[in-house]
Amino acid sequence: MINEIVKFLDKEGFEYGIKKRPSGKKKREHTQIWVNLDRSKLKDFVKSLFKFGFPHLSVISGADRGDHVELIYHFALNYDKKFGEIVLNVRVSLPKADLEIDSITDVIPGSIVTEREKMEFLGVKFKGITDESHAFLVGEEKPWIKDDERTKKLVRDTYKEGKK
Amino acid sequence: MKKTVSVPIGPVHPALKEPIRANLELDGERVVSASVEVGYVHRGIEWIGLRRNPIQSIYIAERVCGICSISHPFAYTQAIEEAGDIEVPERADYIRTIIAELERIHSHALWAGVAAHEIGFDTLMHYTWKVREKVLDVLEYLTGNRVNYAMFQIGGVRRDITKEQYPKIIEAVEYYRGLLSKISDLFLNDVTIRKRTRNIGVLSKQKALELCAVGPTARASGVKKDIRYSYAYGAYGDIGIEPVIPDDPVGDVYDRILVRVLEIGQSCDIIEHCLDAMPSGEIIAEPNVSKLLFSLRAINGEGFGKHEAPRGEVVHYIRFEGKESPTAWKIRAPTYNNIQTWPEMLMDEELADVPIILASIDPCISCTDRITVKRGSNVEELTSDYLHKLSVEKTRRLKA
Repeated sequence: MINEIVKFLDKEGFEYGIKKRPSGKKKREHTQIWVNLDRSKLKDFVKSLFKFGFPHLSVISGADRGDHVELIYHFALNYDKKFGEIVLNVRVSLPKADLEIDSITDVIPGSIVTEREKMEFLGVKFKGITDESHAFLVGEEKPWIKDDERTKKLVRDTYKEGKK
Repeated sequence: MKKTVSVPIGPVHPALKEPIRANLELDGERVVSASVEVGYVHRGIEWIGLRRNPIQSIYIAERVCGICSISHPFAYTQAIEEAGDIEVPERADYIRTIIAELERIHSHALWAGVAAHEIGFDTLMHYTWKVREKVLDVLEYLTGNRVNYAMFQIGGVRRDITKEQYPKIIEAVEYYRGLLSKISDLFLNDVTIRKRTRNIGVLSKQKALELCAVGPTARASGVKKDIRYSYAYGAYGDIGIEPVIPDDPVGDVYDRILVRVLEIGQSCDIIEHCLDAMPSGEIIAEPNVSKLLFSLRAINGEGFGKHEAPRGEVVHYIRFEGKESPTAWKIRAPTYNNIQTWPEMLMDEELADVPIILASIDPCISCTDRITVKRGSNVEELTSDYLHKLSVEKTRRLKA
């Protein structure tokens, strides 16, 4: 399976790296592939993963990297084979001035909670998402955006309340 | 025009271990639509972790969940070890696996008790929880604590399991193995439990895949997904387990019970294997915490770790940029994915079956309190006892 995935990534010209790590006495390795992708290609990329079986989306990670927000889609492929699972981490960068990306909820419906979380915590807009309501937070703070003034104020106020 | 009734369950309710809210629309006693709200207990753990050093955050990771307090450190330390290319001693891999499997036994036994309570078998609940004490005693004996074991360190474990400690572990393994047929018989062959759980809360394999279900919830629907089987980490790469999947999966509450009961036996086998094959040697890559912290400060990279917790895979992603604290940390607990399966499971089910269906994914959310039922413009407040009573009455009807 790893060869098929690598062949696919080479054919499409994606930038990627492979990490392997051993464990236990037998030093059996697990495999992770890290792919960098342009946001415009994300949805087609996810659709094309179905040729390797139903991709499992573990979660989308997100971080403020200064001038851009980075999303990493953590997929698991080939998980129904003994020691055959490949973790595929797909990295997408969004400029802070334009935090928009296609939703993949029509391809993998289970991605909706993690997309909603990124909307709340980072202010990312997912085009085509069916539910834009908050999943976790009440207010409009964006706690994972480093210079978010509303979060700073919330922390200050909470600290003051706690001190009382 | 058909009138439906809105029934919000939670955010605090005895069927749940932590606050969450399920909004149900009922036509008579039948659920016609359902949605879920979370966020009542968001503690900002990742945010806190970005302001601590990675060793401090092991103890924060441990407190993400009081029941799976090994699962999060297991995935968290793996992610850091990946990022910093830290090699874990073989013996530590085995000790981590033993503790993780002991945790699975206690978690599944805890859940079985909750499930029994939800359908009105309180004697069975007390029996199951009594049985669970044995594994908690062993965990306390090995780690010093019944929960929050503080066993994990980056690059290994903090405490060894010595030969002198083996007999108590073996005694517990034999105790559970001896009880397994009785527990199976009580849960899987009882006519009333079967009636209350067979074809109730069905999640098809296709829906489990689409909704990214994990753990026993996915396996009960026939999805061959258990990272102890598919992804080599800890000592699991040496063992080669097979995922527990029902022979002819229906994906109902009964199958979820079956998977968890059989996994208790599987955990016994894994623990025994680890004790037999335990390698000698060090238990930690760097025992000096100051030196370890100094080396962690130099990490410039990212890592992804995961562990098959009792409820399904736990995922941690972390990134360092040469500073004391990480610049990104993402935690994904199994319930995060599994709650999405509730609306599918609840569709067209009776209100009396809602508690056991909600409990069947073993949600990592806690419990208490009341339900508000809106009947048209009238709002009635029903106590938690009422919903539980409905469930118990259904059991009694079926037994009669």
